[in-house]
Amino acid sequence: MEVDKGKGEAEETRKVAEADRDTVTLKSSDGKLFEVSKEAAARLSTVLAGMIAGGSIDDNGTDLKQIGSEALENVVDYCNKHANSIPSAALISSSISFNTAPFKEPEEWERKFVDRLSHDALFDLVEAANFLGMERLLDVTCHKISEMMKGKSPDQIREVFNIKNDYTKEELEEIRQELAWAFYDD
Amino acid sequence: METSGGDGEVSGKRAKPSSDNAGGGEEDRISALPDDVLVHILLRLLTPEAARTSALSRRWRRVWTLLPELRFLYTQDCRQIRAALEAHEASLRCLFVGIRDAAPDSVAAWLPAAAAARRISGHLVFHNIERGNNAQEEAEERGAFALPCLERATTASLHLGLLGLAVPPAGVFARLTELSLTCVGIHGPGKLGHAVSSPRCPCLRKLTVSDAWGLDNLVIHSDSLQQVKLEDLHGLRQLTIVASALKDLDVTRCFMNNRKQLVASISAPQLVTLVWDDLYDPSFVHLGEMEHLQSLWPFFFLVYGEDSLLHNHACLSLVRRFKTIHSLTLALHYFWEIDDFDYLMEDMTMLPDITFFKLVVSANGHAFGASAFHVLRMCSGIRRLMLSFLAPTNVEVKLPFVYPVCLFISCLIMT
Repeated sequence: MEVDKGKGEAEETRKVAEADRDTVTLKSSDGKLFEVSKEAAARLSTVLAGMIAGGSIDDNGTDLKQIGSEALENVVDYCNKHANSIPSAALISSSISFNTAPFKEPEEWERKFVDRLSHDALFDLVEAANFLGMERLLDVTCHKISEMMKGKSPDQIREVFNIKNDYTKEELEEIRQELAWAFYDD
Repeated sequence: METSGGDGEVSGKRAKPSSDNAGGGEEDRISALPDDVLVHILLRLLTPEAARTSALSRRWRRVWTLLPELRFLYTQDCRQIRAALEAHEASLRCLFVGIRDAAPDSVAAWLPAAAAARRISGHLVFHNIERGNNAQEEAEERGAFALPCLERATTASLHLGLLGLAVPPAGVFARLTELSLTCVGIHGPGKLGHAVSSPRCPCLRKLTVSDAWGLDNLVIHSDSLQQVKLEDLHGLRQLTIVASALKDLDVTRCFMNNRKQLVASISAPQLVTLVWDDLYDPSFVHLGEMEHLQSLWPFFFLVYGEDSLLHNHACLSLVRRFKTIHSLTLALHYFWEIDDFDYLMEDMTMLPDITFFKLVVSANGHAFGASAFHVLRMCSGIRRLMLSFLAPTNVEVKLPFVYPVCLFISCLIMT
């Protein structure tokens, strides 16, 4: 940011101070404040990057009304851990031509990061990652959820995620027949 | 993976008050997620598993049909793929199909559905795992399926496990930029060369055809191709390539087992890299002007052998075409048994001016100092030298197949 120092207006000084800070303050829905490195926030979240670039970051805590303090703490924790981790070779070389794997596998620390979360905390984090446009964190959390579904029957999946079966018996039978191709290798 | 997933669940449940279970009041968090996040989750499952989520609840009924990518691995029944493509609604940026021992008619049952009806807009990958016995006769018995015209696909990689591919006589692959056909029998009615040439593949930049039968005469005219790799085209007799934008050409082991009536004509004025790991003789291989050529890899040179070997002639006459070459790769090869053979290094009397020289030696236990020194003595102007040594192999049987597998041992930089 180019600032004409000759003017010396208070407003300008405040802006400079804001631009010079290397952290941003985020405020959760329940009013708690969290500091996160501006660089990591801008790199990992398209929404925060947009807010930083657009100058809509509030020094006293940018309101993120959709995100609770526990989820925001996890977001900030993830950003900090990400900033300190060295990306593996697999992450750097991403030239996929005829690759079968659609996504980059989570790093070991990322696995541990989501494995320690409770069921609700995991879903709070998915929602936060989606809201903040954090592609990588969304990848990691969705990977975790897909792992919880893998190799399970519909009944088992319903149990894991508390999904209520609102089909009638007839409807369910119809689906099974329509999707026989998907069921027959059970 | 299973373990960590399991642990996660356990700890997740442990973290909640157990009384919740009794009232059945635990929240269904996953069904509340927006469609695009659910798609993100289901993308990580194979397609049949993703489709089975239809049975969870009404919320899930059609989520899987929004998937932009479908993946089938180790499917033994192609009908599964056809049924999936018929039930699926979104356009596909990727269709990946891995099958074991697919029969041609079963492939014909899903591939056209994918191309015409489902309109793959991105990548098509089809990998048919063969039974291991790669006898050509068997491949012919298994018949061919028709390659549909992939109008919107941008890349296609078909490893056919010896299935036959019937090339369509007409139709434009309008957006295709990369095509790879491996382990395949090429059938009519269309000609492969015609199908990959500019009028029908106007955007094709990279073409790979490897381990293919049935290509007797391959004629390619392309303004877009930048990279062409032809490897083990069994039975190829005539090759014509006219490609104004071609930068990399790799012809490997296409002519070496078929020494009669060979004709090759290459016109690629922009060529930068030429690997001609194959028989070469100016009387039947016509290479046009290649002013921009920087890197050359000719056929290998046998250090001991019978006099006037085709290999050595191929190697030397191609190298002789050039007065200077920025980067030359030369492979020196020793048979296991050399007692009854002549020392042939004296046939090599000169090399072009080289800047970067890569010498690949497969010595098979023999002392290679004399031959290597013979070569190095002739290239006093080199600025970088790389020596690669290949591991000993049972060369008499596998000679054509082993030496590109470079066991790189040392790299020496000279100034």
